[in-house]
Amino acid sequence: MGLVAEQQNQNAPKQASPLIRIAGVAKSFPTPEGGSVTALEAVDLTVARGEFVSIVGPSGCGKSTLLYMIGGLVEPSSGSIEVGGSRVVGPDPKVGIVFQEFRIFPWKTVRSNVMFGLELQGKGNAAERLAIADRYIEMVGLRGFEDRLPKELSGGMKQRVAIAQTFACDPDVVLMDEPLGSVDALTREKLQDELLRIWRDSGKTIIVVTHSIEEAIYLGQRVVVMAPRPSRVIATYDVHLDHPRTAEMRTAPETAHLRNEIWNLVRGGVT
Amino acid sequence: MKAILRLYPIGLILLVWELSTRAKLVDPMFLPPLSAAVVDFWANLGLLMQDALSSLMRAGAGLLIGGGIGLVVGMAMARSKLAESFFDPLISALFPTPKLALFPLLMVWLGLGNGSKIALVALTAFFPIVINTYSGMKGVDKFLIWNARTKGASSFQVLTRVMAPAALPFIFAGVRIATSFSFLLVVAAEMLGSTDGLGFRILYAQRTFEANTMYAAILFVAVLGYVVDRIVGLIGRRLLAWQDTAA
Ligand SMILES: Nc1ncnc2c1ncn2[C@@H]1O[C@H](COP(=O)(O)OP(=O)(O)OP(=O)(O)O)[C@@H](O)[C@H]1O
Ligand SMILES: [Mg+2]
Repeated sequence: MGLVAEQQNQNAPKQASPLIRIAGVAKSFPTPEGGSVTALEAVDLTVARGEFVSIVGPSGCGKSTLLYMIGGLVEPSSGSIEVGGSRVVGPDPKVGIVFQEFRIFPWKTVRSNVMFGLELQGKGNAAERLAIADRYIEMVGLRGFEDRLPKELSGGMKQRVAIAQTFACDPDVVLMDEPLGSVDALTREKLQDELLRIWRDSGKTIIVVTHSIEEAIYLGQRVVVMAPRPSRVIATYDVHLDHPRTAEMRTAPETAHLRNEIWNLVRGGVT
Repeated sequence: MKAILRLYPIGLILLVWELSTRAKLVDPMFLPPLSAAVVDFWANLGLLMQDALSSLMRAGAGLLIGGGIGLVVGMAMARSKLAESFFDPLISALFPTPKLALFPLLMVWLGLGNGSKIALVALTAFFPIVINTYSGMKGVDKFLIWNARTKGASSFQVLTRVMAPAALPFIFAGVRIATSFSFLLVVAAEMLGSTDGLGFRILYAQRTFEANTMYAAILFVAVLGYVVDRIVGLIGRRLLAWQDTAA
């Protein structure tokens, strides 16, 4: 199996129908002094159905804000965002978000946290919800912690609960904001492979924001690079690595080359 | 055992009380011996129990009514700008008023029976609960709400399944304050105009120079107040066991 492949046929993002269409989106927030601070200006991005896209960029360039807007939690100041052909007007359970802050519900055990979305949506009966929850708890490696409260978990464990919580709801689109930031390196690699497996099996559309360029390359079919002042997308790289990913690809020369190229670009954008 | 040991300062004071009165250091009309008050308590157990029941019933009913309304109004204020702009100035204006000042009025409207006391307690209990519910729910972490909304929560579900439990520590602190206020106010109201209840019993004993009974009733009020607060505290600890607090 070659490490570098031309655009794969079954995952040809450019040709497939765009699921998420972001056009000229800007966002500014009012300041207490009566002025305004610009979080994003003029972002254009389209994501195909079933695509896995990584976003990297320096802190404060508006990555989280962009995800909130796609998820319908924050309204753009101008421009338009469409998901599945209709304009985003509010949150939709079809679009799940794993938040950077991974706030899970502190009064709920791990299991009831993971079941919560299913309960809210009235999906399945109690036994089915339990089975789904346990499956995702197992997936993120928290078996045996089902009945623990969040206060008894480490930061990385809470983050994994948040991931399970979102995937248990089975959204078509998953937006992940630095989902593995607090997870140790070993678990991180395992979860990256889990994410890729779910993505391949389910055909979900996934956007992941990460501070790790290596992670962005390993996960994404495309890496979108954002830059601050003005906040925008400055480049998009296609990742020519085969699926399924293998451990060797992490250290392959092509990966290192792409990593350096992106790194130089990001560094240039910062200074 | 530890808990009992911790209470030793109280035991010490009671001991000093008993010994100094036994030694005839103070006039028993001012301060009878503790043992005399305890003996009187047993002698009047039926009467005092009746009084305690009346007082607790009034405090409890007032707390439920005032607290229940406070909870609903506080939730409404946290969710709706309209409710917020309507109730906020009213609450700010009325909160500092000592509610006891309204009691003569309540007696005229509702009579000397349970109604006026329950109304007074309800008025008093309303404020700490409405204020704590409102500010607790206003302060709920945005990301908890967003987390639920992106998982399909309706605004009613956000209110009942996210904001209310998240604000529970605040709400519960309000309940605890309201409970002790309720007890305080019911005793005061019974002193002002009533024919039974522990407040009435204290004042009546004082007027008929029954120092032993007066102290028996005072001690009973003190113990009841303590027990009620402990029960509320224990419920709180069970309910809020999920809180991630230091120590
Ligand atoms: N609610 C808000 N009010 C005011 N300014 C905000 C708000 N949210 C974000 N900003 C500003 O918008 C900019 C982008 O923030 P955002 O959180 O989207 O960045 P980010 O790329 O996710 O950063 P990081 O990598 O550190 O998470 C920042 O300058 C931030 O100060
Ligand atoms: Mg962010």
